[in-house]
Amino acid sequence: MQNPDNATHEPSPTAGPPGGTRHRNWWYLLLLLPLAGLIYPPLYARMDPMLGNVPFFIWYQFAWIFGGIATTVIVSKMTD
Amino acid sequence: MTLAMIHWQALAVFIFLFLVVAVIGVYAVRWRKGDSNDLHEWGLGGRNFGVLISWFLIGGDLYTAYTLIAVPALIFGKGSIGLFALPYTIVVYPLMLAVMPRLWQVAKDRGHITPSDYVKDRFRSRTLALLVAITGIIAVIPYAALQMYGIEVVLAYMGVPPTGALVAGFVVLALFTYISGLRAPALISLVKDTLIYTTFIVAVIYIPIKIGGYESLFAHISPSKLVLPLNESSSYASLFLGSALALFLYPHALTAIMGSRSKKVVKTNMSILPAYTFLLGLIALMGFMAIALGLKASGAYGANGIVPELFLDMFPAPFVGYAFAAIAIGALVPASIMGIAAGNLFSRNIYQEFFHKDVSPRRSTSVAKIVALLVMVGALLFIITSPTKFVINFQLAGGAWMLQVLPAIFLALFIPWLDKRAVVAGWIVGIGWATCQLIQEGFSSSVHSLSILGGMPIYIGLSALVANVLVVFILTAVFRLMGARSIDPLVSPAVKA
Repeated sequence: MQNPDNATHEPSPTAGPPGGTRHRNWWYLLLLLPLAGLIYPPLYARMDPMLGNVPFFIWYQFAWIFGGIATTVIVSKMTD
Repeated sequence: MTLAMIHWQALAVFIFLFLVVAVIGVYAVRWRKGDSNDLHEWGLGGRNFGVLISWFLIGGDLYTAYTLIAVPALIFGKGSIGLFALPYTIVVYPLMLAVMPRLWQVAKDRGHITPSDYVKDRFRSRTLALLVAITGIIAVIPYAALQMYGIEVVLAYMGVPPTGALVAGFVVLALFTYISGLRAPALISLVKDTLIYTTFIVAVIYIPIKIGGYESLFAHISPSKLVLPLNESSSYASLFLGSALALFLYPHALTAIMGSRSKKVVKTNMSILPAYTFLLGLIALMGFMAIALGLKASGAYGANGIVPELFLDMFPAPFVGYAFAAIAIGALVPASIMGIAAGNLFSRNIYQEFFHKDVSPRRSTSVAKIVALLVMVGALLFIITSPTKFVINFQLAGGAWMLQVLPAIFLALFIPWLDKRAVVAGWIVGIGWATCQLIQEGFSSSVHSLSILGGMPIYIGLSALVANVLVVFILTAVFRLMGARSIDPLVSPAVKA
């Protein structure tokens, strides 16, 4: 461990919620979106509507891969 | 098929690829400048991996060979609940985008190599750092053992006596890990991912064509297996959330993150790692393909044999060797990082902390190297001598235990007023309650029905974490009322304002 007496580290403006300014903080809430879309399985545990012949349960979750990428890209950009 | 007959063509391709990887792994030590006798270099690759290498390294580290075998096996055996791997690896990156860049920055600024380094520095508590180190080492050993199991399964399906061949594979692993440290799995992961991506992309295109397209694939399977039954909702949701929260607490995952060159590299990776999730989703569908084809999980490896079985049934021999090499090499990368991470933890947070304060950098690296070897030998012996079921159960338990260090790392990054005694107490309650529930389930299930929730089954690690966090908050409040004032020493006044 280097310098245990030096009790501060450089605060970084791009750090997580408590680090940035208020308007930046709100962007981090977007990161909960994929969780919100997936945390309640009865919402999507169904066959219909099918996409091609793929059950809703399966394609809905695959679609959230792209939803997840979108949220991380947006939040990364907006908090830089 | 019989396991007795050796598939020579496949084996030749397999051995060739394995040797290529051995050479690359040993060469990796000279890949970049840096003294491999320094722990910062050996154990963290000099904290110098850019976006692309970090992507391969972290991807190779998280999506392990065992995952590639076990996820389709779970779907084949238990149906749609096995798909929990998909939401698990979707939500993990948005959640970790809030946490990992911050942790990377603190670790970089303060010279932390292991998660326990952070905990010690943050809480000024050797005890808490020790608990985190021990939890990590214990959780990672069965995980490394399951990587060896992944190698064993493909060897057995090529008709090779698995134990002897496994020892040969282990020698390759031990050699390059000892010599090159984290650079070896980083460089090997380039080869590994090329093999894995080509193998599974071919598989998920070619096999359905043989079945008659994805349309008829799903038409062959009863809806009860394709869609999650409502009574499994709470298991599904708590499993994927708990697993997502636990993933980046594992020492091997944090080692790969900390090896990144900059915070930007970490952030970018949270957006590009989902490429592996997409692949994992397609691989998961192989479980449905096996159901549609009416495969029987009859071999010595049960449902865990269905991926190799699909390959053997569907592909020409040389490609089978290629695919099996992809899986085996896919096991080497995480197994190596797990060994390195455990070595770092032991050297920094146990040996140096409690036995040898003024250790030289050279000595501390040797200790890490030796412990990395011991962990890998232990994992090898574990998988050879114990029933596989036992190793799998131990790994499940390890995940539930691992989750209990979340307050000490993730909460500690954001909440400056946590009391270290409260965090220790929370860990004890979390580990204790998780273990009680595991005992009630005979260690064979990761979910347990909770009477407070009307008998709803919940992932054991997650319910124990809730109890853990409650204890942390309540006791912190109690200690404050008694006059204690804890504050994060790593946070400057500027950040608080």
